[in-house]
Amino acid sequence: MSAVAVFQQVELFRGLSEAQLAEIGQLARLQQHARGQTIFEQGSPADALYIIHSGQVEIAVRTPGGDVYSAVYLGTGQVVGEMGLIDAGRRSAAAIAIEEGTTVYCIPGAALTALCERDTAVGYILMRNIAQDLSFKLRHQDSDA
Amino acid sequence: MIYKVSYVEETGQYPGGIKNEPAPPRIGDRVQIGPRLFQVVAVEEILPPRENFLYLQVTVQVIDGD
Repeated sequence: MSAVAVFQQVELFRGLSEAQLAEIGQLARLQQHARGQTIFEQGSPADALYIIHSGQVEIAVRTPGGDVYSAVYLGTGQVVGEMGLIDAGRRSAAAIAIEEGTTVYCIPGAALTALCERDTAVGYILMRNIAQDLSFKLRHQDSDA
Repeated sequence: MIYKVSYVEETGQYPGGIKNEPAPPRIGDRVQIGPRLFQVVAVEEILPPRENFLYLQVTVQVIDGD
Protein backbone atom coordinates (compact mmCIF):
# COMPACT_ATOMS: atom_id res chain seq x y z
CA MET A 1 0.00 0.00 0.00
CA SER A 2 1.41 3.42 -0.94
CA ALA A 3 1.95 6.20 1.58
CA VAL A 4 -0.82 8.18 -0.12
CA ALA A 5 -3.28 5.29 0.30
CA VAL A 6 -2.30 4.98 3.96
CA PHE A 7 -2.52 8.74 4.56
CA GLN A 8 -6.04 8.82 3.11
CA GLN A 9 -7.08 6.74 6.15
CA VAL A 10 -5.44 9.12 8.63
CA GLU A 11 -7.42 11.95 10.17
CA LEU A 12 -4.37 14.21 10.34
CA PHE A 13 -4.49 14.43 6.55
CA ARG A 14 -8.27 14.74 6.16
CA GLY A 15 -9.09 17.31 3.50
CA LEU A 16 -5.80 17.15 1.61
CA SER A 17 -5.73 16.25 -2.08
CA GLU A 18 -3.86 13.26 -3.50
CA ALA A 19 -1.18 15.61 -4.84
CA GLN A 20 -0.75 17.20 -1.42
CA LEU A 21 -0.60 13.78 0.23
CA ALA A 22 2.00 12.69 -2.31
CA GLU A 23 4.12 15.69 -1.40
CA ILE A 24 3.93 14.75 2.28
CA GLY A 25 4.63 11.15 1.31
CA GLN A 26 7.93 12.31 -0.18
CA LEU A 27 8.94 13.48 3.29
CA ALA A 28 7.86 10.35 5.11
CA ARG A 29 10.01 7.32 5.89
CA LEU A 30 8.53 3.99 6.89
CA GLN A 31 10.09 2.52 10.03
CA GLN A 32 9.58 -0.92 11.52
CA HIS A 33 10.00 -1.48 15.24
CA ALA A 34 10.43 -4.60 17.30
CA ARG A 35 8.22 -5.19 20.32
CA GLY A 36 9.56 -3.11 23.19
CA GLN A 37 11.63 -0.82 20.98
CA THR A 38 11.54 2.84 21.88
CA ILE A 39 10.49 5.12 19.03
CA PHE A 40 11.45 8.22 20.97
CA GLU A 41 12.47 8.96 24.54
CA GLN A 42 10.79 11.35 26.95
CA GLY A 43 12.85 14.54 27.08
CA SER A 44 14.39 14.07 23.64
CA PRO A 45 14.14 16.80 20.97
CA ALA A 46 10.80 16.68 19.15
CA ASP A 47 12.12 16.65 15.62
CA ALA A 48 9.53 14.47 13.87
CA LEU A 49 5.99 13.24 14.05
CA TYR A 50 4.88 9.68 13.49
CA ILE A 51 1.85 8.08 11.91
CA ILE A 52 1.07 4.57 13.11
CA HIS A 53 0.57 2.33 10.10
CA SER A 54 0.21 -0.94 12.00
CA GLY A 55 0.68 -2.28 15.50
CA GLN A 56 0.35 -0.43 18.78
CA VAL A 57 2.39 2.24 20.49
CA GLU A 58 2.45 2.86 24.23
CA ILE A 59 2.75 6.45 25.38
CA ALA A 60 4.65 6.18 28.67
CA VAL A 61 5.27 9.01 31.09
CA ARG A 62 8.02 9.09 33.70
CA THR A 63 7.05 11.25 36.68
CA PRO A 64 9.53 13.57 38.42
CA GLY A 65 9.65 10.92 41.17
CA GLY A 66 10.79 8.30 38.70
CA ASP A 67 7.60 6.25 38.41
CA VAL A 68 6.52 5.30 34.91
CA TYR A 69 2.90 4.91 33.84
CA SER A 70 1.12 4.20 30.57
CA ALA A 71 -0.90 7.22 29.50
CA VAL A 72 -2.56 5.70 26.46
CA TYR A 73 -2.12 3.07 23.78
CA LEU A 74 -2.33 4.32 20.22
CA GLY A 75 -3.10 2.16 17.21
CA THR A 76 -3.57 2.31 13.48
CA GLY A 77 -4.06 5.74 11.96
CA GLN A 78 -3.03 7.72 15.03
CA VAL A 79 -0.45 10.48 15.10
CA VAL A 80 2.31 10.51 17.70
CA GLY A 81 4.64 13.36 18.58
CA GLU A 82 2.61 16.16 17.02
CA MET A 83 3.01 18.45 20.03
CA GLY A 84 6.63 19.05 19.06
CA LEU A 85 5.51 20.36 15.70
CA ILE A 86 3.42 22.97 17.50
CA ASP A 87 5.61 24.06 20.39
CA ALA A 88 9.11 22.79 19.49
CA GLY A 89 9.45 21.56 23.06
CA ARG A 90 11.05 18.32 24.17
CA ARG A 91 9.10 15.06 24.24
CA SER A 92 6.64 14.98 27.14
CA ALA A 93 6.47 11.19 27.05
CA ALA A 94 8.17 8.19 25.52
CA ALA A 95 6.68 6.24 22.62
CA ILE A 96 7.28 2.49 22.68
CA ALA A 97 6.24 -0.12 20.13
CA ILE A 98 4.39 -2.87 21.95
CA GLU A 99 3.66 -5.18 19.05
CA GLU A 100 6.31 -6.97 17.04
CA GLY A 101 6.70 -5.34 13.63
CA THR A 102 4.91 -2.11 14.54
CA THR A 103 5.30 0.19 11.54
CA VAL A 104 5.20 3.96 11.61
CA TYR A 105 5.73 6.71 9.08
CA CYS A 106 8.27 9.21 10.38
CA ILE A 107 7.88 12.74 9.02
CA PRO A 108 10.63 15.23 9.90
CA GLY A 109 9.10 18.21 11.67
CA ALA A 110 11.29 20.84 10.00
CA ALA A 111 10.40 19.61 6.52
CA LEU A 112 6.70 19.46 7.34
CA THR A 113 6.77 22.94 8.87
CA ALA A 114 8.54 24.24 5.77
CA LEU A 115 5.85 22.69 3.58
CA CYS A 116 3.12 24.30 5.74
CA GLU A 117 4.77 27.71 5.40
CA ARG A 118 5.30 27.30 1.65
CA ASP A 119 1.75 26.07 1.03
CA THR A 120 -0.47 27.74 3.60
CA ALA A 121 -3.57 25.86 2.41
CA VAL A 122 -1.84 22.64 3.43
CA GLY A 123 -0.61 24.36 6.58
CA TYR A 124 -4.12 25.45 7.57
CA ILE A 125 -5.58 21.97 7.07
CA LEU A 126 -2.78 20.25 8.96
CA MET A 127 -2.93 22.67 11.88
CA ARG A 128 -6.74 22.38 12.04
CA ASN A 129 -6.49 18.60 12.01
CA ILE A 130 -3.75 18.58 14.66
CA ALA A 131 -5.94 20.79 16.85
CA GLN A 132 -8.89 18.44 16.38
CA ASP A 133 -6.71 15.42 17.11
CA LEU A 134 -5.38 17.01 20.30
CA SER A 135 -8.96 17.84 21.29
CA PHE A 136 -9.96 14.21 20.73
CA LYS A 137 -7.05 13.04 22.87
CA LEU A 138 -8.06 15.44 25.65
CA ARG A 139 -11.62 14.12 25.53
CA HIS A 140 -10.22 10.60 25.73
CA GLN A 141 -7.99 11.52 28.66
CA ASP A 142 -10.88 13.20 30.51
CA SER A 143 -13.05 10.10 30.05
CA ASP A 144 -10.20 7.76 30.95
CA ALA A 145 -9.34 9.44 34.25
CA MET B 1 -16.26 5.26 6.73
CA ILE B 2 -13.36 5.29 9.17
CA TYR B 3 -14.23 4.96 12.84
CA LYS B 4 -11.88 6.82 15.15
CA VAL B 5 -12.41 5.13 18.47
CA SER B 6 -11.54 6.20 21.99
CA TYR B 7 -11.49 3.04 24.10
CA VAL B 8 -12.07 3.84 27.76
CA GLU B 9 -11.84 1.26 30.53
CA GLU B 10 -14.89 1.50 32.77
CA THR B 11 -13.13 1.73 36.15
CA GLY B 12 -10.27 3.96 35.05
CA GLN B 13 -7.77 1.44 36.44
CA TYR B 14 -6.29 0.62 33.04
CA PRO B 15 -5.13 3.04 30.36
CA GLY B 16 -7.35 3.08 27.34
CA GLY B 17 -6.48 3.50 23.73
CA ILE B 18 -7.26 5.30 20.51
CA LYS B 19 -7.25 3.68 17.10
CA ASN B 20 -8.99 3.70 13.75
CA GLU B 21 -11.36 0.85 13.03
CA PRO B 22 -12.82 -0.18 9.68
CA ALA B 23 -16.16 -1.02 11.31
CA PRO B 24 -17.88 0.21 14.47
CA PRO B 25 -17.21 -1.92 17.57
CA ARG B 26 -20.27 -3.65 18.96
CA ILE B 27 -21.23 -4.62 22.48
CA GLY B 28 -19.62 -7.95 23.31
CA ASP B 29 -16.70 -7.54 20.89
CA ARG B 30 -13.25 -8.26 22.28
CA VAL B 31 -10.45 -5.79 21.78
CA GLN B 32 -6.76 -5.80 22.62
CA ILE B 33 -5.57 -2.53 24.16
CA GLY B 34 -1.92 -2.64 25.05
CA PRO B 35 -1.13 -5.92 26.79
CA ARG B 36 -4.70 -6.61 27.92
CA LEU B 37 -7.87 -8.00 26.45
CA PHE B 38 -11.14 -6.15 26.98
CA GLN B 39 -14.80 -6.58 26.13
CA VAL B 40 -16.95 -3.79 24.72
CA VAL B 41 -19.82 -2.82 27.05
CA ALA B 42 -21.03 0.48 25.51
CA VAL B 43 -20.64 2.45 22.29
CA GLU B 44 -21.42 6.14 21.93
CA GLU B 45 -20.96 8.63 19.11
CA ILE B 46 -19.20 11.61 20.71
CA LEU B 47 -18.70 14.10 17.87
CA PRO B 48 -20.46 14.93 14.62
CA PRO B 49 -18.93 13.08 11.65
CA ARG B 50 -16.38 14.94 9.53
CA GLU B 51 -16.16 13.84 5.91
CA ASN B 52 -15.48 10.08 6.08
CA PHE B 53 -14.57 10.02 9.79
CA LEU B 54 -16.94 9.07 12.58
CA TYR B 55 -15.98 9.49 16.24
CA LEU B 56 -16.87 6.95 18.90
CA GLN B 57 -16.25 6.45 22.57
CA VAL B 58 -16.29 2.80 23.47
CA THR B 59 -16.42 1.69 27.09
CA VAL B 60 -14.64 -1.56 27.77
CA GLN B 61 -14.30 -3.99 30.64
CA VAL B 62 -11.13 -5.94 31.29
CA ILE B 63 -11.51 -9.70 30.84
CA ASP B 64 -7.98 -10.81 31.61
CA GLY B 65 -7.35 -8.79 34.75
CA ASP B 66 -4.86 -9.71 37.44
